[in-house]
Amino acid sequence: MGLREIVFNNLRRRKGKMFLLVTGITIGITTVVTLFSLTMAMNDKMLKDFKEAGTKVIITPQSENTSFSFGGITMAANITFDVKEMPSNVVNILKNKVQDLNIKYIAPKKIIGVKINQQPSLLVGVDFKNELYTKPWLKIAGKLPESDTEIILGSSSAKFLKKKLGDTLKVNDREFRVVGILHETGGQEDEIIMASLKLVENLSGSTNLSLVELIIENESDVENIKALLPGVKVTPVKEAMKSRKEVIQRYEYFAILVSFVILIIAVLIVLTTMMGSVNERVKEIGIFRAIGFRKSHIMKIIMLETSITCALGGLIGYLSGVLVAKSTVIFIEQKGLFIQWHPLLGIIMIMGSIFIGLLASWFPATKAANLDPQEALRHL
Amino acid sequence: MTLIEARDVSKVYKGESEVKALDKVTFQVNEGEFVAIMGPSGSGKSTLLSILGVLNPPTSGELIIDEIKVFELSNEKQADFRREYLGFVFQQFQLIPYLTALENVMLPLAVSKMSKQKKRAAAESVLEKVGLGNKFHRLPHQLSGGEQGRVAVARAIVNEPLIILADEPTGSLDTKTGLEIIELFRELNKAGHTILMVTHNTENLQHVNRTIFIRDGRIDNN
Ligand SMILES: Nc1ncnc2c1ncn2[C@@H]1O[C@H](COP(=O)(O)OP(=O)(O)O)[C@@H](O)[C@H]1O
Ligand SMILES: [Mg+2]
Repeated sequence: MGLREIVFNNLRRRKGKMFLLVTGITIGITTVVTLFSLTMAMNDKMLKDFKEAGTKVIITPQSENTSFSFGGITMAANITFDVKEMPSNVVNILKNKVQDLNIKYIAPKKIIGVKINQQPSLLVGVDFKNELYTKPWLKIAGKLPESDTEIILGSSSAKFLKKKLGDTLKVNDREFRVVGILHETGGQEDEIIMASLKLVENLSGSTNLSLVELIIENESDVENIKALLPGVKVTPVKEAMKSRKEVIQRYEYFAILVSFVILIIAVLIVLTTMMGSVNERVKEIGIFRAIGFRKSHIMKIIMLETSITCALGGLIGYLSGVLVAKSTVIFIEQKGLFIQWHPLLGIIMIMGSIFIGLLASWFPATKAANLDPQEALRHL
Repeated sequence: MTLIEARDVSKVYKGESEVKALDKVTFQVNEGEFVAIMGPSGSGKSTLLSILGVLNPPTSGELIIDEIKVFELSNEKQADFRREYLGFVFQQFQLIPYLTALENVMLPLAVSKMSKQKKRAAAESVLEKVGLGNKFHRLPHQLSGGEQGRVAVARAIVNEPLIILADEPTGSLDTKTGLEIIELFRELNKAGHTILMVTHNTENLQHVNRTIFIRDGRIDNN
């Protein structure tokens, strides 16, 4: 038998004594593990989502001129609605590199100034199939244009022009049929008048493009695209990722703050419990000292006892924290959030609990070691 | 041969009021003696025993055991000294409630560098010696008062100490069981242990070599 067996036997045969301590640590660690499991799951999901969605890249002509924005994208233009353009072979160059650059979609656009009811307006020519892939949130009442005489309108444009599905609209003295109206998005798509790219090319007599939107799998390929297309401006769009990252980061800060508060509370709980325990065991400690235990042996006993208890609380807390996080995800019906068993988190929690135990029991252990054995034994 | 020598040992407890528990106590104990310490309650017997047990430094005076000035040792060395030289039998025996008889007996060996098997063998052998060979794994509350006394005696001798110190070991026992414990001490004394025992019971005195009477912190030679 050694000091360790003394401690084990004490914990084993007086389970009730340490119940409060184990419970306290367990509750604390459960909270911390739940919070961190959830934020880690959110992070995982975000990375997965962005990996699946890919990175959006905007290709525009180089320009130092005034710019205006379209669909949240700032575009080069001169003042007279004469949108700056780039040659259409940009698309061909990209199409040849679809494999190398992991390009998922190429959505070219041509924007021209037109006259509708004598009013200058913008007509946007798109490749509908790819356009809808890059903007999956767009919903259309009616259908996509199939011939060169069909166009679709944004919801505000339709209202402004007083057009319904099936009405005709005069653009530069040519008549077109409105075959689709976009659902309201609250964005700039509401103002749009959209036709097929081919139609816009015909109207303008040029195949030059105003803008190409790309979806690529890996953000790292942006530099390769820049190198591939030296004459144009290549801009990755990161805003969405950034703002979601910020939200998750706020959760993380919250988790860290809560953990810190719990650490302090845990230290106080351990400290008071162990002080009580030492006061209760004055006699026992006196006996240990009388039969020849050194002060350091007494300290070891108290600190070992505390750290074993805290480690147990840490282990149970980790297990229950993950389970609580798992049931939280089920409860709030967050699909795609997957709570993982992170063994490293478990190890950190157990080590952290031991650290709390050692930190908080240092003072009670010192007190126990410095008890006057004669004084302790006097009250036998 | 002189084993223990107390020279002008005084102890003053400073608290709300000063208590002079021992006043210039001088005596010697030879190796192999069985000494009783008697006196009225509050006369300083326990204080004297705790000083002899190197648990309580005297306010003045000197204690020499086996030619070692024990209170000049460092605190940790005093603990080592107790472990090597002394065996305690406390009032009410003071077994550790969460340890079995065998574990209680092994307690003084817990911090020594012996192998597990040796510690166990030593504890088993002394428990058998005190007649508890069949109760190794009982917890203290599962033992009678007399049996607890025997475990306490076994615990005091497991480290083969030169000196056994006992503070009213029969105080909580009926006469018959008390006598059994005294018998045990006599056997240990015959086997060579020097024993100092505080007692109230005059009947015990017929078994000892010598009695030191204490009154008001002084040795009373009458
Ligand atoms: N640790 C202590 N602090 C203060 N007074 C003490 C302490 N230990 C003993 N005393 C006092 O010293 C005197 C002697 O006590 P003690 O040695 O226990 O006597 P006995 O064992 O003969 O009854 C008593 O008056 C007691 O109250
Ligand atoms: Mg006493």
